[in-house]
Amino acid sequence: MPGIDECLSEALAIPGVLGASLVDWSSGLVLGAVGQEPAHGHEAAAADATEAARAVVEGATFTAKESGRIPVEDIIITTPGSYHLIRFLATSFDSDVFLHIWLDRAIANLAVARLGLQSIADRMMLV
Amino acid sequence: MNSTEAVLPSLAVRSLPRRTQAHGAPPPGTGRSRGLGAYAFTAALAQLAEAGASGALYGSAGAVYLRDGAVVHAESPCAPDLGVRLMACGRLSPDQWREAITTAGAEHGVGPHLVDSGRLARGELELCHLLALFDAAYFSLLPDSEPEGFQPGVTSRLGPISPPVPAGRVAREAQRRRAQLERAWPWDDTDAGPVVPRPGDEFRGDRVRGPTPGQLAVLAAADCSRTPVQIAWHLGRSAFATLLDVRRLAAAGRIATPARAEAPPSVSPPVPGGPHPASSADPSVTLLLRVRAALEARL
Repeated sequence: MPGIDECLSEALAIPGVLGASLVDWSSGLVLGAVGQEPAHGHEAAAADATEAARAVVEGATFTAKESGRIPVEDIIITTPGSYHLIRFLATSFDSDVFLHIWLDRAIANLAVARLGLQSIADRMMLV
Repeated sequence: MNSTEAVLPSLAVRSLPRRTQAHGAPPPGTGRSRGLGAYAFTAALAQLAEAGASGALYGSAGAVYLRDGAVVHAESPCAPDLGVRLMACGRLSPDQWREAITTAGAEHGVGPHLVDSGRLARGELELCHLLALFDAAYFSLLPDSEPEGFQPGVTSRLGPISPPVPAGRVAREAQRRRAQLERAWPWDDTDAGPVVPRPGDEFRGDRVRGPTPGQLAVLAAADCSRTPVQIAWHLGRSAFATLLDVRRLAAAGRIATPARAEAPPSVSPPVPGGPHPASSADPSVTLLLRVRAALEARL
């Protein structure tokens, strides 16, 4: 039954992960962050990831057929050198929170990382 | 919802000063006439943090709890607390919450008790508490919030839950949130009044973005009498996020706004490295106190 810090440490153990953070995307607040900071620091990364999350959640194209409070599971961004994974958390209470990890593309396996992050997000809410 | 709203009086925030003026000089003998000035609560918090103090700093809009100079808890009559949030979604029944308070409230260990008894996961408790902490701190640290006393040694009955947060980080976050509200919609006149949805064909903008699930929930809860803070309590949702969503809905033309002759004032970017003077877009404590009075009137 891991807490926030343990979950972030587990995320850091996913192969190829450089850093991880937990972000409240209703405000852009960093709730916790570990590992290597992205280019402009954890807070700037949270602000950028929050903008991306809002753009997707507000985009009717992606969410038109979805019901429920969290209509999106993941956002995956690939660049020539890195992967960014954003996993929305399904909390029992009302919140807008995601886990964000960034990975070295030369080492990481996208499918493995996605399943690993999903498992951490699920276990964080497990009694 | 009555079961969760009935929890309101248990908020350990002391009675709030009676002030009626929303703007301008405060009545003689209070607040700024004593020379406290804007950000008096934030300044008092910074002093206590620097001294490594432990205890509770009470203010006109909420209380912040410190341990060794770091923030471990915050509560405000504007921000739904941990219990309200967990009960509004049905995660805990009012009976379960009461049982936890009865069993562990006196020993200041409600949070650990909820985890040890298997009611909550540690991750979800920490997350819910941390979100509630920053939400309550935002209101406690409003520019015109005034410190009303520090009680050394006082701890929250919830007990230790989230890792302590540096006081400077809490203050920076409150400032960032004020700037966010101003960027979303520079007027504060949707903050305290009833939220009145408008028909969909009046949406502004050539390309309509879908509202977020949070905004849809706010619209669904807007019954033309609930204010943003009342909607937040009703939904067990962040009061800041609700204020922000209401301003975004106002900007999108989805809720009614007062008729205005002038164009929006130009929005200045947030000033890094320190609080900026209170602007008209800051939700004022007095405004929010009226909301609290309305909440209390329903009990």
